[in-house]
Amino acid sequence: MQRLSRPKALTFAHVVGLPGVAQGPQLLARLEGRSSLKEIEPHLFADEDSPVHGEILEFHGPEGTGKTEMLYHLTARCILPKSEGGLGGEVLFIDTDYHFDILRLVTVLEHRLSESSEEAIKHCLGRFFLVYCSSSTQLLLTLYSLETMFCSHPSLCLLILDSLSAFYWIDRVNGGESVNLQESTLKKCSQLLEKLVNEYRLALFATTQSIMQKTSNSAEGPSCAFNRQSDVDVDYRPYLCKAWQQVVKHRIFFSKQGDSKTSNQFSLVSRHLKSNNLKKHFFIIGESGVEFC
Amino acid sequence: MGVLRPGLCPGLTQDMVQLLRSRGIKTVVDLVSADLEEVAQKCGVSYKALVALRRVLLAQFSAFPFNGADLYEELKTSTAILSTGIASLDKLLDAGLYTGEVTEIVGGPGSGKTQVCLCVAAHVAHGLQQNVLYIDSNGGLTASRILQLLQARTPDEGEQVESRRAGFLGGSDTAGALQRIQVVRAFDIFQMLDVLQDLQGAVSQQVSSSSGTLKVVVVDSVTAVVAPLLGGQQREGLALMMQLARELKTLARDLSVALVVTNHMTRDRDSGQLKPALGRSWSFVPSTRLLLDTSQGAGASGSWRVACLTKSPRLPTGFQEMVDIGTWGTPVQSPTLQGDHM
Repeated sequence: MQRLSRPKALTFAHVVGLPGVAQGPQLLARLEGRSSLKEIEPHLFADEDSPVHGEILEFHGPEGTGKTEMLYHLTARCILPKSEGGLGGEVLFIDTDYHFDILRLVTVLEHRLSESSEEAIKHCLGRFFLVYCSSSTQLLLTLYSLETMFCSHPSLCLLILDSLSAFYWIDRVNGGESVNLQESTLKKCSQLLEKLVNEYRLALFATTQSIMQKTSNSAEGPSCAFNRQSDVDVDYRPYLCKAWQQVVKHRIFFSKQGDSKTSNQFSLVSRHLKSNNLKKHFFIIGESGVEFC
Repeated sequence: MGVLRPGLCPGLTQDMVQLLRSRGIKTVVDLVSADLEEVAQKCGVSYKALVALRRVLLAQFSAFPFNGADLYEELKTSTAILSTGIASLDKLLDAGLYTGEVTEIVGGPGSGKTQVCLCVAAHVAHGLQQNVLYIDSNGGLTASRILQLLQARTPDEGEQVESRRAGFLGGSDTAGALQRIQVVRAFDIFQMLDVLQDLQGAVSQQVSSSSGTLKVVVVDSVTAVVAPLLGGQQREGLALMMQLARELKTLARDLSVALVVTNHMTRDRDSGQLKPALGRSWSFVPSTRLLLDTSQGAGASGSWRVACLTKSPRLPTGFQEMVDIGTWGTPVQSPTLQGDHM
């Protein structure tokens, strides 16, 4: 591990114009920033044309509202080759609760490829990487070890974490009585994620589950502020640590439309936290995955 | 994993551990997240040694990424779809129960959850000739009920008479099927966790049985062991529930089995509507959920149920099928057959 290979030093060198430090086109690709959010999903991010310099987006919602399907959709958009309308980039998917279903991803790809041969599917899947984590400590250590992967895969454009809240109750009990101790590993994960995302210019999509009840119940959650945005009817109670709340740039709430049981219409509200921009989108989920209305 | 101790990994000697501890580095996370140059200076340990140690610890304790193409190859061959033995349920589930996944059957009392589980066990043991592990926490399973179901499946009267005479020592199909169903009783969560861990252990030591591979694990019901832990101010109950959830999902994935759990219904506090028990955290655990309900406005016979698919990773939800639970396992023969040899 050479000290000079740390990206920080190289970014500095690039700015100052030191010769002989750049190591080829891979490095340039990283420094220029990867695809913009708009290229990743034009419907959701119509205003975000600038290349990603480190974005953290949170998908939040109760069970059955389309979060996982949206992740498959974004993954497919990234790993499909450019000739099929994708980005030809790589995706790293971190799965914390054995939720990921590769057969479903393959179905989505099959419906989106113009000629869905085994070869084409394998080619796309070659750009997809999956990691299973079984505890928050393992998640933290895995993030450290993935740093080498981010270095060596410059075409990695998307980092997905499904879900960040999987260890919530277990961590709360392991931390004993001290809230700080309970949240410490997740806090370190959040800080490390922010550092990695900024250094390697990634877009991180992390899901968090709505596991708290709508009505106030101090037994179930920390006594932090409740949702004040009454103009948006969202079922959001922040329960993860403050460190995570601070690194999120976009928060996207998912909900299911329609009262009838057979409706397959969903909606999401996207909120850019700095500009407080709110946007609502509708989508349906079909065989080929998410389709925006 | 956690605390640094001598022998945890190659290169971690007693001296090294002492030196690091004296500078506040006690756990694996502390070492991995520390600035190694600073530590090298403060502890008087060589920087290279620390870097090597860090690399070894990360290799040992972090998770390794799989490539999608390899994963697909592996799952394509190891995933199986098992028919439940009930045509209308198979239709709802897109051919049947998928191995590697947790399927939840939820319904009120008397809605037929245990009956469905017994039917699945009987079908897999008899029709598909695979092993079943039935974890009973309700007391709803008796051998005579399973026998009734199996007998209803073997129309040949002669075969059943043979099996009674042979006392299940002969090579009868019904007897063989009964042997493939292993029943374990677990009346609290710790017993259940033990059962699951024993199973993992048995498989890892490759204790194989001659009659087939384990393909289905039924947990009837998960509410019985978890509900007593929930409620009130206790976080421990929720943590235990999530630990159980993790064990179930890991088991399903690692052993390639179809894991079926049953859950009860409770009333929502605010709306008064019926919903699956165990709360929101549990609702994320199963990949598929089937709701069994007594059909409204059904005819005089109370044996019809409405099965509705309320959660699925691959199908649109909300579809329903009518199922008649009365015809399952009804002994066609005379009552004297019941309770024989049990």
